[in-house]
Amino acid sequence: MARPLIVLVDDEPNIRATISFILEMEGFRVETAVDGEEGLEKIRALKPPVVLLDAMMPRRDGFDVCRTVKGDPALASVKVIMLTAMGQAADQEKGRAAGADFYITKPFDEEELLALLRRLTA
Amino acid sequence: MVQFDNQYRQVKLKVVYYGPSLCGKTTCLQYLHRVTDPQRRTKLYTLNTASDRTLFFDLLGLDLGRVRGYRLTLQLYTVPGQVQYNATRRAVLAGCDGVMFVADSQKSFAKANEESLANLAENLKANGLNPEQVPLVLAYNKRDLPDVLSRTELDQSLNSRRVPVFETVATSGVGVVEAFTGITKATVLSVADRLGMANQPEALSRLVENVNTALQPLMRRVSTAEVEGPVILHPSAKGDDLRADELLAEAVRANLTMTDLNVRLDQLSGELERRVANLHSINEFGRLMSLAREPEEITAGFLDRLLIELKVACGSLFLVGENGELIEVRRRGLAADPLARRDESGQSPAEVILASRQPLIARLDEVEPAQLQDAHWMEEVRSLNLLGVLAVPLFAQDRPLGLVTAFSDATRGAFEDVELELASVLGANAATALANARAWRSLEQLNSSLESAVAERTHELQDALTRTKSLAEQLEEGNLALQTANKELRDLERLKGELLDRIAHELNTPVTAIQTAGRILARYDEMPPERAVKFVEIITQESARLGDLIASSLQAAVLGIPEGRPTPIGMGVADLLRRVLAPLKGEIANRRLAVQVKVAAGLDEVVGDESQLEAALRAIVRNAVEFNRDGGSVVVTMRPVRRGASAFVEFRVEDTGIGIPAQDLPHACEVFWQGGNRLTNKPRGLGLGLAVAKRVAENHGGTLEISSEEGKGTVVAMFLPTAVARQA
Repeated sequence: MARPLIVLVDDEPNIRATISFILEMEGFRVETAVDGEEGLEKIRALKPPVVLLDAMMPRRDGFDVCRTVKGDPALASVKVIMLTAMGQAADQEKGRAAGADFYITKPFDEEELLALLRRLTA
Repeated sequence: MVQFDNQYRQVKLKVVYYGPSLCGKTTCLQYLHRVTDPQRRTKLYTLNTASDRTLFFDLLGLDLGRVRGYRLTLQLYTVPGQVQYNATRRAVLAGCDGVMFVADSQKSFAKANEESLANLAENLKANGLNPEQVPLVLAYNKRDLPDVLSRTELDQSLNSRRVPVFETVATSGVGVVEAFTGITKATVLSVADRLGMANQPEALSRLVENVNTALQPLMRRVSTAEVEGPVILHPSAKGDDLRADELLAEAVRANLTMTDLNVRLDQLSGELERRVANLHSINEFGRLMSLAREPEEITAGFLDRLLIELKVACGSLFLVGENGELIEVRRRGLAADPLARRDESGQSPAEVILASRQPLIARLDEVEPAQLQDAHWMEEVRSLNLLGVLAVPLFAQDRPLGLVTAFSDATRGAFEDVELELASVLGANAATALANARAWRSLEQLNSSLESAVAERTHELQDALTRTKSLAEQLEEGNLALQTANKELRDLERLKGELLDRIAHELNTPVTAIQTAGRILARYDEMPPERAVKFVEIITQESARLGDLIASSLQAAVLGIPEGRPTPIGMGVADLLRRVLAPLKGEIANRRLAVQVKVAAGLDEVVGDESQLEAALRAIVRNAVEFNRDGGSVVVTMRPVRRGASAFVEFRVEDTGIGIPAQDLPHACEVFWQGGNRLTNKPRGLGLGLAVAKRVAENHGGTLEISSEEGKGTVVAMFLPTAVARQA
């Protein structure tokens, strides 16, 4: 059985390192991107089932990437999980407006994230 | 027979010129007709035969003026002298009041005169009149002819009653008027006697005087004056056919009636002429009144005009005052108006007349109307040699407005009814005009007071408008100030929110990394050591970052925004810079920044609050690092400078970073302000750096200066006064 592909977009190298390590250990393939621009390129190229998307990033922020993905019919199958340190209601609202499917705040419980990813890639 | 005509208030006296055929009766009447005032007589009606002989009678009406309130008129008739016309003579004599017997003085007529006189007596009796009492005057005519009887001879045969006799020449008019005056007086006296005036000698003599006055104009008349011809009526019947006395008498009566109607017609047309003249006056007066605007103009114009119309010089105008009393507003020709004098009861005759609402005419010679006989003011009028009194109350819309009076003297004569009528109409006209003018004036006054009220109100409104405008401007200013305050509040709120976001991000990111790395180490404990080391390193790095963050947070919290007196001590410059730069080394290396430090020779020590200066300098350098581009440069310079009389130490940091847009430069030192887009540039830190640095500089009595060019870099210079710092 092929390992499901997750695209992880986050500008923090240590976040990218830890999350991708866990996901790979748990049976996912991970492609990382360091900012929104690179992330969008990889999403378009790979059409992953799930994108883990940080909100606050240089060059192009996560909300903008999410809006673009959700506005592109070719990427209709891509589920977006917004992943951000911000926990405020206003930003969650912003995420929903951008069309994010899920919203997980940092710091997060890795089991919860894994369960969500398994459900989405089943 | 005296005829009283009450409708026209006139007394008609009938005088018949009697005498033999061709004795000159008609000639007498023709002369009288010629010499009398056309206004006071009728036309001469002559019913002749073709042979120019009087067939029925001649008729001349004469107006003798007013006697005791009645107009006295005379109707002069002639009879045909021919023997065969006796029926006519008898009919004409019916109801006569006096007879002028005209005798022909020629000797050849002696018998005819006597026969005619006898015939007169006979016919008077036939009409129920007493020949001995009917007023009679004799005219001996044709005295200019030769072969005439003497006066005595004629008296003997004709004047057994010893009545007045006049010698006349009818063809030239000699004695005709005198004879006429004689029969008129005799007739009037006889009528007066019959009316019971015989025992009032005073009234009787006044009556005679009146008749004289009435007849005088007749005498003055020049006989050669051109006169209108007589009206000649030719009956179709031939004299020869008129045999039957009855038929003849009937015809005479019919002709009498017709002639009477003609006379009436004459009178009416005269009346009509006077009325037309009055209407002209009224019309002209109305025009004048309608042109007048001011009440004063009307009152003056009215009285003057009225007096002119009445051809008198004396009169007054009274107007009703506020309390209903009459106030004299104008007087002409009199020292005082007799009607204005108040009697014992405090009322004036004028007020009595006004209260009666009836116009009044009175004449003093007749004391008419009789009820005025005892009026005290009559004496006063009489003493002024005035004869007639006229008073007209003035009403407008049934409200008493005033009273106008006029007085005539004997020369002018008493007032006539027609004149009273004219005065009444003019008075009504003037009263209406006056009421209108007054209404107009009060309307104008009302209008002008309205105008001034409107002007005043408009002024007030304009004032109110101006005040409202300035209030609105103040409100607008207040509103703007509120909006600004509101915006600042919202900005502050936003900044607060952004600060919290930043704190959350800054804290959460290292915590997430540490936590996740920790869980990895716990979960996958069988992983090779070289891999585990990587996660331990991550934990170490992020912990340091977290520590640094907490330190600067604590510093910001502890320093607040540093305030209050610094505690200055001397510090070694090299040591200070080392401490400032140390925590930034990792970042500087990561970003591959070239850092240059230039310290002026001899500047070994600065004086100031150690912790404040270190925090301020680090904040400035951290910004230069944080907002730099990768591979950029940072130049740190420390040197003494002089500005004016003061000495400073300048601590200057130049970077090659993103710069600050010109519009943001004034805000750069505000608390929480942070350059760049917080999402995409995501600068680290809390936006306190420059605010802290500025506050520290100010705490030391110095300044912080920032210059920047967007996309090129920023220069921040802190000037610390050397002397002040040392003194402190």
